[in-house]
Amino acid sequence: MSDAFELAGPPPDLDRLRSLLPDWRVERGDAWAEELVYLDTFDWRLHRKGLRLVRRSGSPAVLELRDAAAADLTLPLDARPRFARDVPAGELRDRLAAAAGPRRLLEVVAVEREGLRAPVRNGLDKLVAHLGLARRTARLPSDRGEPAPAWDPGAAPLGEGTAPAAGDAANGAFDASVTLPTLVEIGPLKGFEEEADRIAADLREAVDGAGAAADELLEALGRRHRRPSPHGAKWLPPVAPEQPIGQVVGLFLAALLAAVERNLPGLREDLDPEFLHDVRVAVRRTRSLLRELAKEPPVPALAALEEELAWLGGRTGACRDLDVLSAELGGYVTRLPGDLGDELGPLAARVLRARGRALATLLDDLDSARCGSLLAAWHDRAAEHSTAAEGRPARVVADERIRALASRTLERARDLDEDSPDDEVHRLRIRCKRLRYLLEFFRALYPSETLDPVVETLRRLQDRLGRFQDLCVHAQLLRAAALEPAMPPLDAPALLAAGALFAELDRAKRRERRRIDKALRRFLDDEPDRVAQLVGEAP
Amino acid sequence: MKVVALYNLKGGVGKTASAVSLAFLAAADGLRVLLWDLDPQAAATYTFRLRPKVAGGVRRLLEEKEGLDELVKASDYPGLDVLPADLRLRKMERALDRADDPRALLARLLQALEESYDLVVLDTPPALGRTAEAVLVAADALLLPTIPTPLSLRTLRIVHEFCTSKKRYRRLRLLPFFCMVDRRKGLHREIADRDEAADLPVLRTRIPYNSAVERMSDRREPLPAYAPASPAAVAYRELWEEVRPLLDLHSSSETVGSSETVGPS
Repeated sequence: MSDAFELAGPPPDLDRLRSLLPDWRVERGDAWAEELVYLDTFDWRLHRKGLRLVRRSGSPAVLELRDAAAADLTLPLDARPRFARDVPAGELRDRLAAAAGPRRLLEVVAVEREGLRAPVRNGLDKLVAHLGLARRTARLPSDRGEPAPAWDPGAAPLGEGTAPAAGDAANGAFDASVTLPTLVEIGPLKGFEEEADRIAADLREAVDGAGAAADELLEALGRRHRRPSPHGAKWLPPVAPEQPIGQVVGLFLAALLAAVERNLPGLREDLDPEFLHDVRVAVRRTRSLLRELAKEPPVPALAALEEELAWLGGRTGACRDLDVLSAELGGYVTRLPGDLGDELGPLAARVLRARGRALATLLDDLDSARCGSLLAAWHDRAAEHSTAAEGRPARVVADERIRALASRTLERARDLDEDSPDDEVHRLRIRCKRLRYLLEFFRALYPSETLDPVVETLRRLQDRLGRFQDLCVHAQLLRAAALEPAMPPLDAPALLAAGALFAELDRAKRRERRRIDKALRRFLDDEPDRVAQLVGEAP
Repeated sequence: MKVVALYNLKGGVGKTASAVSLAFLAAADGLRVLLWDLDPQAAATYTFRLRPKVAGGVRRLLEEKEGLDELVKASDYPGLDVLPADLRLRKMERALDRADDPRALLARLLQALEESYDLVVLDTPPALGRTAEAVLVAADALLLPTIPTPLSLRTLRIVHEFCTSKKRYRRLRLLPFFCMVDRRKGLHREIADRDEAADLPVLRTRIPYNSAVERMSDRREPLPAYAPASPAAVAYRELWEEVRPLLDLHSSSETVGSSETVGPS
């Protein structure tokens, strides 16, 4: 494990270094330069899990996955991976994929290091460590207009030593790069860790201004008054029990609109499918908020906004459904017998083209005057209500609404049996989703030990219902792609494979339906008591 | 992981020079190599500028209270680590006597390094005691440096007979090679030109007598590092090329040394 610390000012030259370490023989080493590009997803999934993904230049360039809680992983890799799936198979890809999911890996910070690498020997003239001294400059991808993860732009500098460098400005007019403190790294040779510690101690003692090495990524961001956005995509401001519900709605509207606006550029650039997903979720949650509180003053005044949100939500559906199908298609293919899956290429290509058309239509919708008016109205309503103090206390409203919606959800769940049509299953799923959103809106009003079990029971049922719904939608989409009137008929092998796939999806649907019946029984056993504990009355 | 021991009953035949040179060349070839200096004279340890002392003592190691890996030191060369000798290795015979299964002890200790190294080179003391028996069990092959003299051939025959007389050593590959060959001497020429010795086929590479080898203890570096063009270094390179396929070892660009470095290497 190498020791690292920072020095104020430029790196010392070799003569100075030798005078600072009189008990060691410091040899002239190689001058070197390298670039470290830190990568993360738009929503900082790696940072949130304590991971750092770095592409280090060199011959060969390597990709490093650093984990404070586990051994670092390194892999030679020439091209910068756009997604986890671009990384060759192995432990690094598995761990990266588990953390990043389908998200695009964006450049967060690029740090150029140049300096000296000096071998250090002991009294026996044995090589015991390598001393690396690096001058560092950091650039942010947004300086070059490239897509970047979500910053928290108003953040204060992070800790000591992160005061803005000369030329930095707090108003967003930044210099192209910032200088970081000189980095000193002491890499011991195996079996010489004690010697490396002594070298580090000697150097720290001899040099003024030596300090612990800060996290390079956070330090570079901090010097530009930025930090990773601390909130996930679903973050909402916490609610106080006595807060007027009108104000709560206004603050929620503002937070949900911010989520949409944050994700629109990535959606427009089609960086990864999660941008659209997060836009959809924010729109759906906003609609849910307005519908659940539709009769609660002052929310009735927002009915027109809800109608427009319904329009926008509807416009996003086709592309999202095809995104999910595209992600699942590979898994479906492997379920087909023999080599049949290989024949699905033409069908998969049609799905991909359909998805391209759906995205183009959606982007037109987003550029439309109607969408512009909607976003403007959304902004205005959020601003009006978040500063006003209208309505009953939030806790009173939340108790009432949760009790009522939980009651209706349980009633619908009780009505569902194995003969109910698929549409009924879908309607229950929507009802569950709305209840879950409602619980999440008012999370801050309830102790987590009573709220979390309600949400968890709901989540388990929702997951099961969601899988069933996906299979229904995917069967429809695949059928539409197979029979696309504007296209020539699929050839015989492709049709055969498509037929096998429909049969497999049908079997999977029936399996899922049986599992839903079991999941429903568990839900109905557990959820009434848990809701009663939360809002004080059994629904 | 392959284990190869440089062994001869006779001292002064070039065991250490051979062990150090071959270990260096194997690491330079991209293999992850450990040189274990089992000779209490600690000549290999000295060559790599290491102190002849095992932290915690050899007894602790043999009692398996200490993992081998924790005692390993990186050499100055990427990919080549050294387990230094301990002057207390002279007590090894007694310690092995106390072990439950002394012959299998080294093999068991080396098992823990299976994932860390491609090749382990054992530099052994010139004796046929408990240590040697443990080496014969642990090694996949014995490289037997042999000076082309009748006395050396006699000791080679003793080793050959000993190994073939015991069932447990029969899987061991015996690979004698002529070392310190002085072609100015008629007797050396006569014996070294044979392709067998003590009823064993001899490797085709001959290591010539070369004064550059003697400077190893002064330079404290492997011969191929400080005199790569010397006749002996060239011959050691040929010997490594000859031995590598016999050990079923391939150079690999994927393997990396265990030495940590800072910055780009």
